[in-house]
Amino acid sequence: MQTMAQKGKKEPWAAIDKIAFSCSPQRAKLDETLALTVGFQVNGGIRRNFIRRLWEEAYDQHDPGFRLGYWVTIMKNRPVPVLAVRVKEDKFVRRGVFFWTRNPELPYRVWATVATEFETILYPKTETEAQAMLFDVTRSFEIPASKLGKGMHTLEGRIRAKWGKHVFTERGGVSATSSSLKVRIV
Amino acid sequence: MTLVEIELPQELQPRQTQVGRFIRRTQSICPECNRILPSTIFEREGKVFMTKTCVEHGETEELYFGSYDMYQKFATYWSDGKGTHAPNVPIESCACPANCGLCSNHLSHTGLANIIITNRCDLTCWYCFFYVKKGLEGAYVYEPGIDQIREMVRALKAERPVPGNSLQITGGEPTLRADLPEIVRIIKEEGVDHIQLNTNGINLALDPGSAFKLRDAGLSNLYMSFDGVTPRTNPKNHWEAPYAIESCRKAGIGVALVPTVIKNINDHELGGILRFAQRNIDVVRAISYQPVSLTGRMKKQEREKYRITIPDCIERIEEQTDGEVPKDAWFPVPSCSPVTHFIEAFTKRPQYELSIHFACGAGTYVFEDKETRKLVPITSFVDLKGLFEYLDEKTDELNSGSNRYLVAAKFMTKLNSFIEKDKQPAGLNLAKLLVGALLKHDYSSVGQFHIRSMFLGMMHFQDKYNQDEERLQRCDIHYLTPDMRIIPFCSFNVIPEWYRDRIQKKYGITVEEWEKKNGEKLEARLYRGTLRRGKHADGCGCSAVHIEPITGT
Repeated sequence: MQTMAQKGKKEPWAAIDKIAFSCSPQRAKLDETLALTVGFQVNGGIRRNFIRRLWEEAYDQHDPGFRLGYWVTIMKNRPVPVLAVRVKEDKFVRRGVFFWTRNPELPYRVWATVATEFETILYPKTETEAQAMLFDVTRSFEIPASKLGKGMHTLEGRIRAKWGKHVFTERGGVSATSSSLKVRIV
Repeated sequence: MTLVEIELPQELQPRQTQVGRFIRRTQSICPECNRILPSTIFEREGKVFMTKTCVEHGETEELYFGSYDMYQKFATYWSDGKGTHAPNVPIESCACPANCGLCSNHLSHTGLANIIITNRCDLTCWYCFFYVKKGLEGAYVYEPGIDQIREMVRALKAERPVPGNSLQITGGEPTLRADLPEIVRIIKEEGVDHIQLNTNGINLALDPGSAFKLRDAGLSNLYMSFDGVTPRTNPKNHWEAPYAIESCRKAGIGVALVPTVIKNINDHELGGILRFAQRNIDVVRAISYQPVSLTGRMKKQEREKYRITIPDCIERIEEQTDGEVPKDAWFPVPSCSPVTHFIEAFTKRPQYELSIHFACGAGTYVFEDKETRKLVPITSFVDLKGLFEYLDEKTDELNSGSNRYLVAAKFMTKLNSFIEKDKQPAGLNLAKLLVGALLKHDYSSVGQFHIRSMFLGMMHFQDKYNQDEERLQRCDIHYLTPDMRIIPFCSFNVIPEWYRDRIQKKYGITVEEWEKKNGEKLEARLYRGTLRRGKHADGCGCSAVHIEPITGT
């Protein structure tokens, strides 16, 4: 039996797509606060494999969860890239938890919930919804403009995701960088 | 005969009046007829409720969990267990709550096995349903023989992948059996490491020498009923408990206090119970608060009067200890899964796991500060959430093929960062204890953990009103029965007509037969209140409820 989704030709096993990086306002006074938002999706085989059939297969091998570690870092660029300064870093985790459901409306034995950092739990109604809960990310940050200092700054978001080996995937990771934004502090 | 599916007319269709935020769907039973019903868990005004509708008996709505926020936090620790690989009831499809024993669909191995050695009791508490009542039709005295007990323990040890290793002797009142030390010895002989005795403590209070006999036989600790700190809230053993504790102190047996918490009856004394335990912290190792499970037929109004859930108890403890044990200090029982999973990944062997449902139980540790004598919850100096998260990460690395010694080294280096040493109670080196327990499997070090510390636990057993099949399927507190079954607590006691009563009838004898066989009347062993005459004992709980939190040395 095929246990994993096949990787399409030329398609990476995982990729960070649809990166949206915004800052509001882009021209601010020194005493103002900047609202930064980084949004992205993890796509590819890793996402396509997060389906009920494989949840059940993993569950039956006592592999009842999938932990995805995310790192989102806002960098302030300098003329020399290695001298880029970290403005803000956010590390967080999302976990898919496979469980034996007693929901009489679900015609399946094993279903998934998505837990975010031991804070809240989400009950998806469909596989697609479960994938979105786990792999679609939007993170917002607030930083004082004074942290950047006066002048024109180039900001970018660096994103990294990491996971371990499971029945439906090998251990892996993926990273990407957003397009840069110009922010002027006066 | 052919079964024909018919569609019910609109007026007979089950109706549910759930008003609130939907959380999840599950299955439950009708409290009247035990019919399996679909049920909905939902949030309303910050609390979590369950609703279910029987076509015959109508809708039942019940408080399920007293705080939605805590429900959300606890639910994130959901982790299904390994189950049992050697089930006694192999079945194809799940039939909960029927056919328990354990079946192939049960998701937790036995965490604690109960063995009833008698259903006789020396007390006659009005609310208790565990003891034989003379004069009632169908009253049977159930007292398994030594050989039956040995076989039951062997059934427990035959569990795979994790053989049962923790057992509670219960009743009735187990100390009424003269051969109790012999029973403890047999259980020990069969390889059970942890043996606790569920008792009202009266006979240990009356006969301190019996504590020594039990210790020598292999008893680990007492699990003693203790419902409050005044005679009004704890008529059962208010006067006797201090003497029983003293007997255990002398014999070197630890004590866990077990209050059954009933709203409007003793929920105002949860802090008082904690203070009483603190006064005896050298011997009291734990308190296991048990929110009441409502039995018999009760109207909604009456249920609302008595119903209390885990978050409600946690909130009351916070209030009644002036914030010394705050809400945030509590974690659901399955929160220890990251620890188990890490050890499993490290040792490559299945480990003992507490994989019950997150809504079943909660716990925390408190330490007594030597100087201020205030209680310091573990969360005051350990970032538990961060530690669990880190353990999950390292488990992933181990399961992905990383070198285990390298991972262990990283873990040990990092461990200290989760502990704020300056906030640690004096005399405690938690990092050292944890490394010993996790990596060297040196559980004797866990014993040191208990020095001037207590485990505070909550366990909410279900009843027919709030019964949830998702919880039942994950139950790890089980009963051993002479037919070699291992039955989850919340089947055994929630549907006694299918389990407890049937088994006790099958393997018991009538009261008349028992009296004839033993040459004494059943009521002859009732407690006559010997210790209730005169003044209260020194250290009696009465004083604990009136005093301020303990300060100074």
